[in-house]
Amino acid sequence: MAKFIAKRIGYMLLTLFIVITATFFLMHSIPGDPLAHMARNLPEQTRANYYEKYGLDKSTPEQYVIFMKNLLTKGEMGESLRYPGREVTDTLMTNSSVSAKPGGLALVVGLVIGIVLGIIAALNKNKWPDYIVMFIAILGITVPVFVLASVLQYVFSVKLMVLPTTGWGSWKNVVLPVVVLSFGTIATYARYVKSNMLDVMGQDYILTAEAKGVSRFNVVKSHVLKNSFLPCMTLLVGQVSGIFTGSFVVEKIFGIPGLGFYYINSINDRDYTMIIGTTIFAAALFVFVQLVVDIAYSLMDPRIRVK
Amino acid sequence: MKKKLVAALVAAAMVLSLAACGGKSDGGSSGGSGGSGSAGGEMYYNNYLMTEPSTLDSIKGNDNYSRGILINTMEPLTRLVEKDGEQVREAAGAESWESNEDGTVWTFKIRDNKWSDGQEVTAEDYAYGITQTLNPEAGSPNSFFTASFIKNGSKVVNGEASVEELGVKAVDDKTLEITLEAPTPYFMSLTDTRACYPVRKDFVEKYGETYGSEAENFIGNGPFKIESWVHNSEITLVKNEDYWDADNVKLDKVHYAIINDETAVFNSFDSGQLDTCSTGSEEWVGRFDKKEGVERLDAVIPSMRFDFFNVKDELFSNLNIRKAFVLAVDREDMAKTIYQDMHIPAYWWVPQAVSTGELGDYRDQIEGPLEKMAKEEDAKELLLKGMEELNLGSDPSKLTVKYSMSATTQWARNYGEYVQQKYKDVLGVNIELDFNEWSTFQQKTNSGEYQMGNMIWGTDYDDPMSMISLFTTENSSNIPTNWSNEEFDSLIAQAGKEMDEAKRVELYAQAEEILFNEGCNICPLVNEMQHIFRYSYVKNVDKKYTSTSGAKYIYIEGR
Amino acid sequence: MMVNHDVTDMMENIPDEKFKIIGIDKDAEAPSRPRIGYWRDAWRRLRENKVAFVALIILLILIFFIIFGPGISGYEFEQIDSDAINQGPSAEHWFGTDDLGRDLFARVWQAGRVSIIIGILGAVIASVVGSIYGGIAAYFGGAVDDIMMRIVEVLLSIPYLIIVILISVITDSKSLGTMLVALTLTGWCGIARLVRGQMLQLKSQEYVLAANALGVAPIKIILKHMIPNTIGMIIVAITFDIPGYIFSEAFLSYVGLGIQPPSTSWGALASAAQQNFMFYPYQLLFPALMIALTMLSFTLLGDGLRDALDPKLRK
Repeated sequence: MAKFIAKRIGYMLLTLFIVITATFFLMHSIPGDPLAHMARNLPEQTRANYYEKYGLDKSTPEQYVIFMKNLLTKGEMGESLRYPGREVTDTLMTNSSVSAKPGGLALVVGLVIGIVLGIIAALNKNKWPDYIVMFIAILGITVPVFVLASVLQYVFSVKLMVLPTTGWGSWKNVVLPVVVLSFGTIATYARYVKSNMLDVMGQDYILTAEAKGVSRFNVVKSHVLKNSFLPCMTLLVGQVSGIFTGSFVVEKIFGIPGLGFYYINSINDRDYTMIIGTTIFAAALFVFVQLVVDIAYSLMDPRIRVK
Repeated sequence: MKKKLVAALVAAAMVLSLAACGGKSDGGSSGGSGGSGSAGGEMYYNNYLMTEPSTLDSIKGNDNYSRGILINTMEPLTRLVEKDGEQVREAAGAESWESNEDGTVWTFKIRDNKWSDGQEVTAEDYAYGITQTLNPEAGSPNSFFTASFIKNGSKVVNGEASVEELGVKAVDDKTLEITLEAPTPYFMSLTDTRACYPVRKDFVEKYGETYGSEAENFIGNGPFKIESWVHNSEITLVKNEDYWDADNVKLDKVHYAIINDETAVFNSFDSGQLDTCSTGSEEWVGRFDKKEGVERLDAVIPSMRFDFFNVKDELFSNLNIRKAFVLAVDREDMAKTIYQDMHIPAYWWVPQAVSTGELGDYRDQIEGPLEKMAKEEDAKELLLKGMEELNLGSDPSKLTVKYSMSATTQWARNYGEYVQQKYKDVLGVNIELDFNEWSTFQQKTNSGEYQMGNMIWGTDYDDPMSMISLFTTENSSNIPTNWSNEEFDSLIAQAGKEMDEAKRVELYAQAEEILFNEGCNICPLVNEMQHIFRYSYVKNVDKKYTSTSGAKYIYIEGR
Repeated sequence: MMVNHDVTDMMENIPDEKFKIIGIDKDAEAPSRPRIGYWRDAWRRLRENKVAFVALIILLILIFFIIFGPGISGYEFEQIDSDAINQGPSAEHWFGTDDLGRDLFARVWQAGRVSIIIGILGAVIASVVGSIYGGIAAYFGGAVDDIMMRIVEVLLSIPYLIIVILISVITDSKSLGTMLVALTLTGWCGIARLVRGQMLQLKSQEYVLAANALGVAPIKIILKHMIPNTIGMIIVAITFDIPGYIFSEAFLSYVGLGIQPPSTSWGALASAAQQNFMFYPYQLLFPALMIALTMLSFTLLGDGLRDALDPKLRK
């Protein structure tokens, strides 16, 4: 096991390295002026000074070497080009912890409800509870997030005036974002859990157990559930890392100062340091969660033998 | 009013600029809880910004959003305030000022005032701010405000002269002397722009790059100070008790929510979480009009939405073709269809709401040049004539023109589709739409890789010069049409020195005439307006866009 | 036990001539029902599933309108009419008009072409590529698996928007084709991971081990055994992915990278209507309804297909 983990960590670093390198060169190859947020016509001398300061006057490979050196030796990613004086690492830490609150809650809520609904649907296949659950699940993903968010905001904040429209700080600010964010999760898990459970229930060992007279409840409890959830864990990887990276649309509409904003806007602004910072952050999270899930996977499923 | 940044044709921009920039934006409210509004409560005002300010460093920042904050936290030399509906330039950071006979040397007596840490404000602080803005090492995007006026300004910005040679000096602790290149009739209108804000040298040196990036790394000397700044969420200002005129500041708190989504802003206002909001949407205007206890304020903004042509482009090198494209636009229909009559159709380049000293609004005196031209000439004929001159045949449907836009929003798409359809109907030419993020648009147009583009531009100071001088050969990089005209240049140069208002207006009018008759490198579309709604408990707010009293005089009654 | 003895004894004592050859009953081994192939059986089971069948019909109706709808109303989908702005549904404009006075009936169906093509093609391409990729990775395991999954991780980690921008810069267009490439370039990764997870489980199942032991070619095992057994999950994934792609395109429209005007899509229509949905709900309703109907049908059809295609559920 230790060897497996060591190997995976090695892979993780390799993956990160490739991602950073690829992103670095890709982002420098798309057109756009990183100083465009300043004056329409920055005086030449001033522009030259900025280019020198940010190292933009050097060739991309040179910039890459400098960046990697700073990253590896000092753990620095530099200062945002768009927001002078703000360290990229600070922004990542502060804003991801904000994103994590609604994101984490929404994942938990979505998982619990989704799984419960999925089980209900599977056990009542082609009966009315199944149809109701699937209808809810489908509804949850037929409405674009930006529509759902706007509609809920209008109903609860403007019409009923029970929740604030935007802002951050109070628990009230989290309610609507959590609802909006969890819709998709509920839909996804309800459907996958149902599908997997039906698969598992058709397997020989379940039939055997039932033939031996094990009660339905016990069959479901000790065989079906565990084996149905395993494949869902691969889905979790993206969602768990998504907690910290936030949702652009939801954060925008509800005024949450999370990280989602920077993922989209840094690219639009060609804020190179921020682009690479957010990428590293997301990629690192992603491979890390992936590793954890893989380990958990192998611990829980005896059939997958870890070499 | 650096609009450029926001220039993106984002519908949102309208909203923002309103709230964030003009003087109008700030207010205050009283009586905290339960609407009792009694003496015990704190007086606060809930405003908003549509985008996070990039920095509060007045030297490095250039966006409208920080402008809204800085006008309240800094004390400019003067403020343009409203007295009985008239704009008056009021002494602020400077107690008094005078100029020498020919108007080239200006002396400001700095008022006794304190920074929010208690230190005295000196002439040196103002001199430092003005100098750093022009110092290429400091990297200010605001140098264009003052570069061409202050002695050696342009040379310093271009690194051709040292900072010491600049015509700015602190004679003593309380005396600031500014020497100009030449007499500048409208120089005073620059004294409340951020290019003339004071800056504390010791603070800048202490915090270096991070100066102005957080509430703690910033210091001001205005009516309010920053209590907190949660990035991308909110900024809270509190009254600065050390401010020289603190007695006249009624508000205890000004709260800015940072809300990136337009609908969310309207919802917040609707539900009373914001005290003010600005909208360019007919539907919301209609809705708020019906709302009780809400006042509406419409004001013209000295800002233009326009297309511009690349004169170096093969097709647009032809004057008749440019004219055809300019005249093909049905501005009335555009204002109605696209802007829902929220903006005014524009037949001019110098916008309304720009004043010429004593004489008042420039546009009240001079008719828009396009109005006449539109009556006399026919767009389609001009196009065919131009095509003949270029040997392009006589079939407009064989022409395809790339129309570059500086935004990728849904609104921009709609707008683009409208333009596409209209040019097809009127001229029969095909328009290929090219949507860009601002950063790409900027790069493309600056390097001349475009045919025609679309932008917004507002005045930087209150004089027609601010708009008309953009097309002199020297300034041509602002709106890179690559057009140049000697006669135009010399008229502008003359106007810049002409101290007689009436003569100056005449020179501007001649220059504008040339701009359209011989240049036609720009195609004005609409003159912007703002529509602001405010709960009626907010009192004493600036009505005009160009006023700069900020939230200083606002108070709340009967919240 | 005693009885047995007796019987044996009796059998032994029967003389040979008591036996008679009656020949071989050739029909004895024949199935009592006609033989049905895998696909025919699936189709039969699908038809029996009423819900799925209704979904199929709704889909066909939608597709009919998407093909012929833009021509029915008598308005061009891009025709601007300044005098008919934001009109509600009426006899003249069945779905009303948008903020440029364009007929929404024509627009909705025109948009449907883009959305449906992006949805279906995107999901199918991604699923096929993803399944094969995931299948190969899971089947071979070891180093192959490691390398292939690292590639997926890399692709999933590079900011998606950069890739989209890059592709539209390289191809200098924001056409349907460009959108498809951009969306599927990394879109298959999710399915690949999902399929791999499922297949790792299947790999240790007895029948796969048996096939392996008998020397069946790997590709055949993947195609014959593993994919059919993962088909349920793949189909769920496809039906999820179709709306997923429709929405991804909508999101790209929302941030301004979507399909180039005058082309439009359901997502673009919906995001255009979002801002004023309180005032003109119908502008949002129709595109949203079409998205919902499409999704609903695909999902129900998907569930039906899943049941029909699952070899374990064959009767």
